[in-house]
Amino acid sequence: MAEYYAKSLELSGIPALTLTNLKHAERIAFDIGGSLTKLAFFSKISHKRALYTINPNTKSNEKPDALNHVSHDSYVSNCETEEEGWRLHFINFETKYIESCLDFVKQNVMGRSTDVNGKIIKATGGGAHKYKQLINEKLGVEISKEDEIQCLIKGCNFLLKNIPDEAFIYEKHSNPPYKFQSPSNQPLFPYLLVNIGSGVSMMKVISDTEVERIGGTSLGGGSFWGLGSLLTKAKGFDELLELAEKGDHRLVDMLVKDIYGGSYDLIGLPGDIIASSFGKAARSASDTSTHLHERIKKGKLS
Amino acid sequence: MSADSGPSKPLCNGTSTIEMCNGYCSKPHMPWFGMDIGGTLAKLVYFEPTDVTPDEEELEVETLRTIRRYLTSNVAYGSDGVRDVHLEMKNVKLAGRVGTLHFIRFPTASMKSFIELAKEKKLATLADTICATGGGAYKFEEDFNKEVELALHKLDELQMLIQGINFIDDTYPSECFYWAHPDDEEQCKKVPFDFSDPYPYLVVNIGSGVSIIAVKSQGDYARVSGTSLGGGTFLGLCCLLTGCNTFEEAIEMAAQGDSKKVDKLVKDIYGGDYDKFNLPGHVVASSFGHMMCEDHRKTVCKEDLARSTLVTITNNIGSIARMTALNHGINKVVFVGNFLRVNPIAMKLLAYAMEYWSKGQLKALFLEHEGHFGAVGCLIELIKEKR
Repeated sequence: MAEYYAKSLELSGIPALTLTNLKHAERIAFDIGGSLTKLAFFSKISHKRALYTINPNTKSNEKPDALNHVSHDSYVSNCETEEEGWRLHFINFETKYIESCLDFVKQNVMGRSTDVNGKIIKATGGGAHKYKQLINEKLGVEISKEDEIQCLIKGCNFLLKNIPDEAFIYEKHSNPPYKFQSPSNQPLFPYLLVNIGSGVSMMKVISDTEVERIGGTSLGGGSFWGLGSLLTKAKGFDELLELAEKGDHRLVDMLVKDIYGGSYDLIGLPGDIIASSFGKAARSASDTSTHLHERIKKGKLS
Repeated sequence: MSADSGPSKPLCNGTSTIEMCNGYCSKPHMPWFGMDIGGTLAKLVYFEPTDVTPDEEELEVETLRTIRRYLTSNVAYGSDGVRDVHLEMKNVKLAGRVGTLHFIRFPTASMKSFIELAKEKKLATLADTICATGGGAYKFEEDFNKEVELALHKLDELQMLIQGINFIDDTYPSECFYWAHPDDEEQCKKVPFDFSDPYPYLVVNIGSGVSIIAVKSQGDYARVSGTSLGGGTFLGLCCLLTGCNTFEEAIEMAAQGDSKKVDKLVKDIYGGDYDKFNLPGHVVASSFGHMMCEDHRKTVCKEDLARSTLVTITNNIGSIARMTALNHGINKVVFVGNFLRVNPIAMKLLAYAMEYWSKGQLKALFLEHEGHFGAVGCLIELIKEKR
């Protein structure tokens, strides 16, 4: 899935093109995090839709499958209509570029004479507090500061209830390993939400509005990015992931079998489990080959 | 002295060689020691008898005397073996003898040298088994068999840990202590804690990796959690980030560093406290969270990186320990393991974190003999054995 991972926006290098659709945004919202700023916006999109009717020649005993599909042969295209719908866009970029982004929004969105007052800009995340004044200066609007956790669960719940294939399960030894989940009639609540950003918050989501932060850790994405930047020559998060893909953590981590010579049967720990992360790194600290960089990357991701 | 059966023969009290032994051993043969061979360090505890009578001394085999002298007259062995003299326990009563317990450690990486030494000192003429625990007891079993011609009596590390803790706590005054005022440099001090009524308690053993054991009552214990982010991680990361080579160097650097330059705090993200979830601004939101930024990387020094590594590993362990204690309804958490050796920063951090996040419900306890309990447990196991 790493190859489909959204590339971070480089505002200095890639100007208007990536933000093009932003010009048509009807509604914008920011989530200004510790490392990354996430921008979501709706725009109206026109698209053509073909209307189908059932082919009168279809065998009458063909039944739709579990996903309510029937074979293509059963349909005949009648006509096309033009429809207007909403499209939800997502952009993220490093928070350090927030000013450039705000400048763009000012010129291309706020700059439109029509409906400036109608534009609702809501923001959340730590940066909504920290950059409140900057946003006010640049965009000339008072942003509506929303609670990060409330927004998080509203967003999660919306996507989980409405978007097919939003949620998925990963099964390492299955083929394909990704199993997508459709919104179902099963009760959604309660569920545990683990939000892995710069740091990690673990929340018990009880309803559409009720949530309790029950734990967290400071070892999150920011730690991976930070340590990766210190230990390798990678320039950026995406490159770190690429390196990690190629690395073998077993050369850096101390496994149970490195200590026991096999598995630790008495408490059921297989030999391949990591006993001490980076446990072998002290001995190979003098090894400066690039292989080490890759191995370290993998070690850190696990 | 009388034999169990047959004509009266003096009981062998373990000071003769195997060949000379008449087979009526009331105790295992000297030397008495236990070993705990971990991922990074091998720990050895040796019982030096101090109640040797003049007759016994005459009968004492040369080999045994050599070993006894070698172990007790040195504080360093080879290039990296060390005896922790400050942990020595005098006048210890063990199986009817009185003696001194000596605590020795060396890197597991030097195991081959140890095996050579044992072979050279002819250990096999004195003992026929060694009681050992830790992963190395399994990993090096064959080497001991072949090279030293000794059988390793492999014992479970968790069982030995608990057994060792019980014995030392009963024997050594003020073994157990806690830190009063851990966050105040001026007022902070060690206070003895009476551990005589311990159950239930949690043991957090911080070695290369971490194991967390819930001890409900005597004999009723189980490993309930753990993490691979332990002392080995601290040492490994420090070596990679700072170029240091030893644990002592890493600790020295950490003592001088400032982790706030390396870690991203709540206030760095929110501009203050995050009131909604009671997260004060000074809490770490993302460890190493400033390091993806080149400007920040330029302002930090090796000492800051070492400090951040120490703080990150320690707080993570504290957090897991706290959640485990909560899940098991236990409010006494004992931290042991050689990660805490010469590491008051980590101990005080753990003490403070446990108290702070639990609002005073949990108590962090520590033991003077740090990472030696597994080896002690093995020693106890040895003397239990009768031939």
